Amino acid sequence: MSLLPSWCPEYSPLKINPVTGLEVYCTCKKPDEGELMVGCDGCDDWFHFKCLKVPEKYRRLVAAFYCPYCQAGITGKDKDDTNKPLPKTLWKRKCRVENCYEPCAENSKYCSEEHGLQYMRNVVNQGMTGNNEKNADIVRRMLSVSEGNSSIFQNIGEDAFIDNSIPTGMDPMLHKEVIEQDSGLMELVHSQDQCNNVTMKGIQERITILDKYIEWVEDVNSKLNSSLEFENGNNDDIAGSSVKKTTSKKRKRKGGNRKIVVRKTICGYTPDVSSVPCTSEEFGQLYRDESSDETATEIKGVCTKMKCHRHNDWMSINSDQLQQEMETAESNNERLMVLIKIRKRQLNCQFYERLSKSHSQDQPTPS
Amino acid sequence: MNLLLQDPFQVLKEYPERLVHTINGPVKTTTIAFSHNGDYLATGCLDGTIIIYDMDTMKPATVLNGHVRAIQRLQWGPHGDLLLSSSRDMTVKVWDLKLIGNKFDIVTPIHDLKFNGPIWGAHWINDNLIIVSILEESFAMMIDLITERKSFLNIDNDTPLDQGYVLNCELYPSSSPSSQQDDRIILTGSSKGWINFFKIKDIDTYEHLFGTRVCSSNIKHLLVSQNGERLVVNCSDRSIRQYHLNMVNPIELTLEHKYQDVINRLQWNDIKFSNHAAEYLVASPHGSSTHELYLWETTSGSLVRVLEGAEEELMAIDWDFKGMKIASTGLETGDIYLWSLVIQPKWSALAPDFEEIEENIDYQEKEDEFDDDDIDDENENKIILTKEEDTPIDLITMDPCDVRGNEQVPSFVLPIDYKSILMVQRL
Repeated sequence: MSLLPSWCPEYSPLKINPVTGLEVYCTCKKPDEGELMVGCDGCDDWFHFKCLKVPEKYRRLVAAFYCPYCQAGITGKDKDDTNKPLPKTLWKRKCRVENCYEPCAENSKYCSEEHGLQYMRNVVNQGMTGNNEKNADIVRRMLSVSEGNSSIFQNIGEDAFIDNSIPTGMDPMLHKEVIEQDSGLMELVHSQDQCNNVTMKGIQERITILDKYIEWVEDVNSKLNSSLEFENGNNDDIAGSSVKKTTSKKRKRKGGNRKIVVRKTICGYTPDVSSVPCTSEEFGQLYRDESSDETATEIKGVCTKMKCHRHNDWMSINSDQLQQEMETAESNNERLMVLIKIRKRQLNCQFYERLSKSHSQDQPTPS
Repeated sequence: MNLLLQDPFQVLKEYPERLVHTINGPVKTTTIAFSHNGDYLATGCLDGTIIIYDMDTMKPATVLNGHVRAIQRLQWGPHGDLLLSSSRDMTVKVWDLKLIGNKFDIVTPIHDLKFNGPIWGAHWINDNLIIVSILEESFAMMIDLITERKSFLNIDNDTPLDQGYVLNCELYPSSSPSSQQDDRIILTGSSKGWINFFKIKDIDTYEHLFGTRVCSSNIKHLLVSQNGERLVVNCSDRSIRQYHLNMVNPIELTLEHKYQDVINRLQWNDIKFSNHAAEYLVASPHGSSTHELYLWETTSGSLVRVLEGAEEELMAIDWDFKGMKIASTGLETGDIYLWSLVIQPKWSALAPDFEEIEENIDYQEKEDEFDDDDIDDENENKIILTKEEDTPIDLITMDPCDVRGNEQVPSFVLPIDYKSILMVQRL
C-alpha cells in the first residue's frame, strides 16, 4: 500500500545514470541542470520544485521539506521505526499582502513593516471605495470616531462597552421593551434589594440585640462578683481576672484561707434575648434573695446555674449563628450581583442586536 | 453492569466484605446517612457543614451551610427529598433539597427550629411531625412542622420514676412510611436505661404504651429491624442487647443475645442492622486500638466477619442495603470508609457465545463475512426484526423489588444548581 500521491513515480534507488555516468536527482531521475531544487531533510536527496508540483514562488516559504518518499515512509531516517509518525513538509506563514510570497517577520503577520502598512491601507481604501458595503460603513464610522488619531483607532473594541449601561436617547422604545420590562432582571434586582435592605439589616439588628443582652449578663456577673467580694471581705483585685465557671462554694470547700480569686458567673442563658428582664442591680437583688433555694435554676427565664453544662458556650453559638447568617446573606448578595451583571450583559447584547437589525432595515442604501 | 446478569452467588452476599473506597472530606465528618436508594450519602461535619456525596462519582453533589457546631444526626425525609439535621448548636433544621438551584439564593433551611440545649438527635415521625431529644431534657419533644409548635412527650404515670434524660428515639417501622393518618409507634431511650414505647397520632394525641428498664446506664442507640421483630440496644455498660420484639398488649421483650467484647471490654460507638429481618448486626468498637467493624449473625449471635482496612477508630456507621455498602467515619481524620462487594464482571452472561480471551487478538475479517448481497435473505431478516420490534418493551415500570429483595422506592435526584456553576466560571 503506497502513500505516494498519484502524480509521483514509484521510488527508485538510482543515484547515478549508468549510461551517462552523471549523478541524478529528484523523482524524475535527471541530472542537475540548474533548475530550482529543494533538499529533503529526510533522505538528503534534491528535488525539483516543478516535479513536486510546487510553484516556484513558494521557494522562500519552505521551513522543513520532506520528499514524497520520506512522507510515505519509504526512505528517511526513521523509516523502520513504526512508533514515530511519518514526517511532513512544514511551511512558513506567508505575508498577508496578496502578491507577496515572503515569509512573515517575527511576531508579525507581514514580511516587513512596509507591507503591513500597505495591507492596512488597502483595507481602508477598499472600505472607503465600498466594495463591501457593510465593512465600508464600519471602517468609515471607526475613522470618524477616531478623528485621525491612530491611538484611538487602535483602542476601538478594547473597552467592554457591553457592560456599560446603554446611553440615554438611544432608541428609548426598544430600551424600554428589552431592558426595563425584563422580568428576569426585575426579579433579580428585587431579590438583591430584599437581601440588602431586609435580610442583612434584620441580622444586623439581631446582632445588636444579642450584644446588648450579653453585655447585660456580664454586667450582672460583675455586680454579683463585687458584692460577693465585699461580703467575703476579700479585697483582692478582681477586675483583671476572667476565670469563669467556678463557684464560690467550691472555694469555701477547698479552704477559705487560700488566696485564689474566683469569679462567680451565672450562665445567663435565655431563650429570648430580645430584651433584658430588669436592670442588673434588681437582678442581683433577686439572685441574692433566691440563692437560699438551691434547686432554683432560673430567675425571670434566665438560667442562673454556675456551671451550666447544658447551655455551655451559648453566647458564642448564638453569635456564630448570626455570623453564619450574615455570611450567607453576603454571599447571596455577591451571587446576585454577578447574576445581575450577566443578565444585563445578555439584555444589552439583545438590545444592540435588535438596534442594528432595525438600523439596517431602515437604511438599505448608504446615504 | 446489570446486577441480574451477574453471578448470583456474588451478588446475593448478605454483607459487604472489602474496603472499596475512602472519601477524604474537607472537614471532619461526624455523622453519615445514606439516602433511601443509596444514591447519595449525606455527611455532617464537625463545623456544622453538611456535604451530600454522589455515590456514583464519590464526589460532593451539594453543600448545605447553616449549622455552626458539630452535626449530631442526619436523617432523610420520608420521600427522600428532605433532610433533617440536628446539631450541637441547639438547632434542628429541615432542608428541602428540591429547592437547590430553584431560586437565585443559596439554599437555606425551610424550618430552623431553636431549642434550649444541644440536640442529641431528631427523627421523622411522619411528613409533618418530628421528634427531638435534647441534652438534659427528661422528655423527648415533638414538633409539628406545619405550625412549628413544640410539645413534650410526657409519661403520665401516677408515680413518675426518675428515668433520667431522653437520649434517643427510634420509629417503629410501619407498612406505609409517610401516611399521616396512621398511628405511629416511637421508642425512646433514656440515660438511666429506660425504654419507653409511645403510640402517636398527632402532636396532641399520644399514648404511653409501655416502659421498661433494660440496664442502668445510658442508652446510646436504639434500633428496630425493618420487619419490626428485633430490637437492639447499645448501652454504655459495654454491651449490646438484642431483644425479640412482640408488639402485643403489653409489649413483650425477650432477650436474645448480648454482644460484648470479652477480652478488651470495649464500649460500642455505633450499631446498625442489616435489612429485612435484620440477620446481621454491625458495630464499631470504642478504643484507639481497634480499627475494624464487627459483624454478627443475629440468630445465633456469632461473629461472622470483621471488616478491616480502616486505619483508625471508627465512629458512625450506616448501611446502604440497595448498593450493599457499609460506610463508617474515622475518629481521627474524619474520613469516610466504604465497604462493599467486589463483583467480577461476567461478560459471557451478556451473550452465550461471548468468549473471554486472555490477550488481545487482531480480528481478521473473511472476504464475504459482512457482505449484503443476498437481498431475499435480508428482507426475511427485516421482517423478523420488525416483528420483534412490534412487541412493546416496558422500560418505565420498575420491578417491585430489586435483586436483593429491597422494596423499590421512587428515587429523588438532586437538582443541578446551574447558577452556582455559572458563578464558578465567572469568578
